[in-house]
This record gives sequence, structure tokens and C-alpha cells, in this order.
Amino acid sequence: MSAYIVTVSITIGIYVILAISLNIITGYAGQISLGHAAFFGIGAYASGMLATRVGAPFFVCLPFAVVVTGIVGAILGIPCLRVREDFLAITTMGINFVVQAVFLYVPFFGGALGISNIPVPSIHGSDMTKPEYLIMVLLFILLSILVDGWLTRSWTGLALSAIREDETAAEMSGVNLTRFKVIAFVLGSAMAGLAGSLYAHFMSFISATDFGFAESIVILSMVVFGGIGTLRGPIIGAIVLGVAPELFRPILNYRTLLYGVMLVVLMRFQPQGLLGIDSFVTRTLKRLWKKETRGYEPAA
Amino acid sequence: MNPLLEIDAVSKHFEGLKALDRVSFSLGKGEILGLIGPNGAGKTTLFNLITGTFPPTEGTIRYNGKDLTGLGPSRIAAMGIGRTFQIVRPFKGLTVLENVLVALGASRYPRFLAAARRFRADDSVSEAKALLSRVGLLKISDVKAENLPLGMKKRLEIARALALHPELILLDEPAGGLRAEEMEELVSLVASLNREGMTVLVIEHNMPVVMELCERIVVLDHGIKIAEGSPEEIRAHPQVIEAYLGREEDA
Ligand SMILES: Nc1ncnc2c1ncn2[C@@H]1O[C@H](COP(=O)(O)OP(=O)(O)O)[C@@H](O)[C@H]1O
Ligand SMILES: [Mg+2]
Repeated sequence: MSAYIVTVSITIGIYVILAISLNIITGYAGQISLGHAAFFGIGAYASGMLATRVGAPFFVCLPFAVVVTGIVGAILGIPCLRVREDFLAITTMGINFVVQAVFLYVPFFGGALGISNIPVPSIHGSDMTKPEYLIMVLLFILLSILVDGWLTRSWTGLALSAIREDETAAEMSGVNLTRFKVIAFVLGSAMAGLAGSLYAHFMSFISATDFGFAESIVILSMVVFGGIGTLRGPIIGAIVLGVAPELFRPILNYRTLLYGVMLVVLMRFQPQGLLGIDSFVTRTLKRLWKKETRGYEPAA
Repeated sequence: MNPLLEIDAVSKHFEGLKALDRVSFSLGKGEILGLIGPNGAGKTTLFNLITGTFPPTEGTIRYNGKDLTGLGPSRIAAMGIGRTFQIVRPFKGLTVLENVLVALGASRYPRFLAAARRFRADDSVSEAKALLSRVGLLKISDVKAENLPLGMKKRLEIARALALHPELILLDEPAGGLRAEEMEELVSLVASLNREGMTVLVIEHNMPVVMELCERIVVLDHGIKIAEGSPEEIRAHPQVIEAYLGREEDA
């Protein structure tokens, strides 16, 4: 494999984890977030700073980043609990701008210079090679998939889908909204923190500009494109939207614009996402495979 | 005997509007009580107060002797008060079975480890299916709730409420919008639940249904309790007749 392909694959792999993590908050729990890049950034900064300032090894920095991001996710999630859907979009967007500004203007976080010279993880006393790093990212994707699978099969996952479908009916069925929304925010944020740590130690240099609102839109586009609320959706979305700009280089400059337009169009005409349950594409594929679609005719 | 539910001088004001004004009545264990009154009388508001959607402006609501003030809806639901909605609210994107499982989880959700377990375990699925067969929806347990006709959605809401293992269920216009035969099924379902010991508080506009089901009726008008008594007493009550006739003249 060429170094270029390995590099692109690592980047896309990190996006896969980000998309899976946002899908927990927005897809499963139904809480729209336009600020997911903030948590990606908090994980990256937590990991990068512990490595460069304290000299902690990568395998200490990574769990540290996950825990810190999870805790911050819980704290920042609280103002999101009692707001209506439209305000939630604005609140999360605001969180993104605030977090980014803190990275940029508070000297402790390195200001505009960001954090540099973040060390490459080492195994057996030598630096990890890029292919080895890719394998590690793939293992963490696998871990994320396992966590996702556990969540969707658990009572907690069921409670989240009830909240997504109807908050009032969920409460009256014994689901404590505060508790489960916080759980979703913590899980989704912590997983984004994991992605942030992987990003920081791969890039070796991070700065506030990497974690802006545009990045949040990219992550959300991946989830929505693939099919919100499914596991395959964010994975396929991250891969397709991650590969596309590499194939069509000119897209790169207009990426955010294109994704933004795509988001609006999908939300309007195909809110389940292109490959979501019951989406046009999924139904067509099912029909092609002649799998029986299970429907129920009330009259029958 | 202590009543199961006590509504004690309960008021609810929305800005200037007195949706409920010092309403009191109580409900004994195993009783089935009808709550009637013209549109806007405050019936649904009373359900919202009992289930903890918002607190009363004044007064207290006690369940099994315990003051419900300040407890959130999920706590109250888990204590054993189930409800259905005037405008049905099933979890549309979930299957019929999953809808019932959500409420069966009420005993698991508060404990972190129990909430981490698989919800499709044998015991929970078989219990949910037993409830579905009770309301006649077992055969369509894998259908998404949004695809059901109204009558089935209403029965699904009853199954979901029953999954809380309630002592008391609140039914908000269960027969509203149903065809005659659906209505009959529903009445016999509610009657049989009550025969088995379930306490029921039911809001209903359809008078024959109320008269058939209920031993006792409370009438609200403009937030005030104007009458309470047996179906015969209510039918002959001058203020009740006036409240209903007055409404017809408006319409
Ligand atoms: N959440 C609310 N905010 C403001 N006003 C409300 C609210 N809920 C009900 N009301 C008002 O309270 C009155 C009683 O409503 P409701 O309890 O729904 O009546 P009913 O169920 O008897 O038809 C109505 O005038 C209604 O507009
Ligand atoms: Mg009503």
C-alpha cells in the first residue's frame, strides 16, 4: 500500500469513529448536534497536551482524552437538556464556537500556535509506522462498533430510541430524560475524544482551526448521508464522503459548502439518509435482491 | 380503606386561565371512575398533573398516601401509574413489541448495570408478548407502530401502560375516533382489566361508553367540579345538563 493510501485511510478511519460517535447522540437519542467537532478537539488537546507537557506515553494519553472528553460532554450536555430542538442546534453550535475560541485565545492551550511535536506512539521501544497506526485505528473502529452494538441491544439503547421518538411518551413510560440524554452525550463525546487522540498523535500538530463549525458539519453530513440511526450509515457515510474529495480534488475547496447543501437537501427529501432504514435507495436495493419487504396492510 | 388516588383541592392556572379550580375527589382501589365534561373543562390537564408533566398551582395529589408533588413523570410512571393519550403517541418508528418493551424497562432504567443488559432477553420478550396478546396485537408484534390504524394504536398504548405493572391507569378518551366494533372491543378490554383489580380513571365523551363502564362519574366544567355521582345521578343532574346543552348552543 502506498503511503498516500495509508494516510488517507487513517484520516477516514478517524472520521468513521467520529461519525459513529455523533450517531449515538443524534441518530439514536435524536439530539441534533452541530458542535461535535468541539469534542473531537477536546480529545485531541487533552491527549496532545498530556503527551507534550507531561511526557505521558500515548497509551496513557488516549484513555485520559476519552475520560476528559466524556466529563466535559456531561457538563456541556446539561444546558442542552431542557431546550427544544431548534435551540439545541444553536446551543451545540455555540458550544463549538466557545470551545474553539478557548483553544485559540487562552494561552494555556498554545493560542494560535496550537500544540506541536505531539509524539508518535511507540510500540516495543520504536515509533509506530503508518501501516501500524492504521491497524491501530482499525482496532479502535472495531471497539467503537462493539460499543455501538452493545448500546443498541441494551435497555439504555431502547430508552434512547424512545426519547428520539417521543419525549413525553418516553417519560410516561418510565424513561428519565435527563439521565439518558446525559448518557448519550457522555458516550458520544467520549468516543469523539478517542478520535481526537488518534488524530493528535497522527498529525503531531493540532490547532484550533482543525475543530471548527465546518468540521462539525462534515461529521454530521457523513452521518446523515449514510443513514442516521443505523450503524452502517455513519460508517458508509464517512468512507464515501471521506474518499470523494480525494478522487475529485477540486471538490476539496468547496467541501463544506457541498456538504451543507447536501445536508439541507437530504433533510428535506430523505431524512433517513441515503442508506437509512426505509430510504429510497435501501428500498430499491431490497427490491432488487427480491428480499421481502415486510409491510402491514391494515385492511388485510 | 385508604383511597389509591386522592385529588385534594387541586388548581392549575395557565397565566390568567384557571384550567382547574380547587378540584377534589378520590379513587378507591379497584374502582373505575369516569371523568367527563365539555371540551376545555380541564380533564387532560388533570391527567398531566397526576403524571407529573407540571406541578399543580395549588393543592396536592396523593397516590397510595404519598404526595406526588415534585416527582418527575418517569418516577411517577415507575411507581405504577400508566396512561394513554387523547391524541395517540406511540413510538412511531419502533415496532409494536419494542413499544411495550420500553415501558417494561421502567424497572431496569434506574439501575445502571441493569440498564446495560440486553432488552431482548427471553423473560422481557415473553412478558411483552403476553401483554400484546392481551390487547390482541400479538400477531403484528414486529410491525412498526406508525403503520397501525388508530384503534390498534390505542390498544398499543394500553399495552404499553400495562407494561409499567400499574395499579392505576389513566385513559384519555380511549374510544375517541373509533368505529363501533373497535369501540366495543375497547370497552370490553377496559372492563376486563377492571374486573381483574385494575383501578381505572377514564376520560370519555361517548356517554353510552361512560355509562356502561363506570360506577361513579366526576363532571368538570371550566375547571370546576360541578357534579359527582352514579351514572343515573349524573344523567339527571341539572348543572350537568346545562353544561352540555350550553356547549351545544355554542357549537
Ligand atoms: N400546557 C398548557 N398551557 C396553556 N394552557 C393550557 C395548557 N394545557 C391546557 N391548557 C388550557 O387549559 C384548558 C383545559 O384544557 P384541557 O385540560 O386540555 O381540557 P379537556 O381535556 O377537558 O378538553 C383549555 O382552555 C386549554 O387551552
Ligand atoms: Mg382533553
